[in-house]
Amino acid sequence: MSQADVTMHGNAAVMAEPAFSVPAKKMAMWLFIIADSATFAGCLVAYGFDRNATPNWPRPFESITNVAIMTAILLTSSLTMLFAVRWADKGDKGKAFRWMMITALLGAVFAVLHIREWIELIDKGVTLFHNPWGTSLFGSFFFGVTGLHLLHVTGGVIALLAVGIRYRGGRYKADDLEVTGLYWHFVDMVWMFVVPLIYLLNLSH
Amino acid sequence: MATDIKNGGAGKDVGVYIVLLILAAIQFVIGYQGISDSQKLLWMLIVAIIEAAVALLFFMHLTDNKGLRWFVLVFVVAVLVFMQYGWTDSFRAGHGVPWAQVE
Repeated sequence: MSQADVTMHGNAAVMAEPAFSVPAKKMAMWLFIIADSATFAGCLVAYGFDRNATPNWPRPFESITNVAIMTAILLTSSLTMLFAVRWADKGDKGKAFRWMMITALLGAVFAVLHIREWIELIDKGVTLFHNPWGTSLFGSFFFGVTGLHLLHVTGGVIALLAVGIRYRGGRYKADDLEVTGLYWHFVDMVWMFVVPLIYLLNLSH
Repeated sequence: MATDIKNGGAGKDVGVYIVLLILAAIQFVIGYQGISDSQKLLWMLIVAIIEAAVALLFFMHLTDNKGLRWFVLVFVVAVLVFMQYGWTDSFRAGHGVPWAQVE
């Protein structure tokens, strides 16, 4: 194959199969997920270390209703993301776009509930470096870890909207939806560790 | 890439979703049990790891790609295991002695 052929038709024909038969975009997302897992694990291990080493760790959470609703919403958004990918795989752009927008909406609702919870805690006197109950590290870790997760959710919602709109417009393909979906499921997965460590271990009862 | 997600259908997705909801509910139930924090942590983390495995295998379709599954597993497990080296020191900070000597 000549250089002209490569220029005209792309280089797929002369390239070897990608690693693990996974396209580059998807592989890049997996590498990001692995690296981001290390980031979250680092934060949670640091939190666990200090919580274990600090005798007067605050237990401010009286009710888990809000967290339970947030968890259900995030899990449901993973399901709607799967539906979007399946419809995209079948070539139904309209339904894929609709499910993707539902996913983005659920993500936005999660973010709103999360911010509402932050505001409630701030009203009780919790800041990054102070709280009325015990060690000041509680606020640092609570806002640090949940803030990092909230940042990921917010970024995910923006990505869902951007990719969804461009997919409907024909600029992106079904594969791009699947890559975005991987990120969204990862955000969901991280929450499964944040809830028990940050919330359920700090119930006031 | 799309061939990766051909196995199963929407019914399987809903089934996995219900399993994840049940596992999440189990975490909340454990949170309200009258057991020690270390026991709670242990059981809630076991449930969280099962949840993560289910999500990885079925939502993120690692069941469909054996090579990628091992690639992800080796890296993630290695990172998580290496992060556990500091626990002894957290007990030393709290109790004055490493964990093995805490009664």
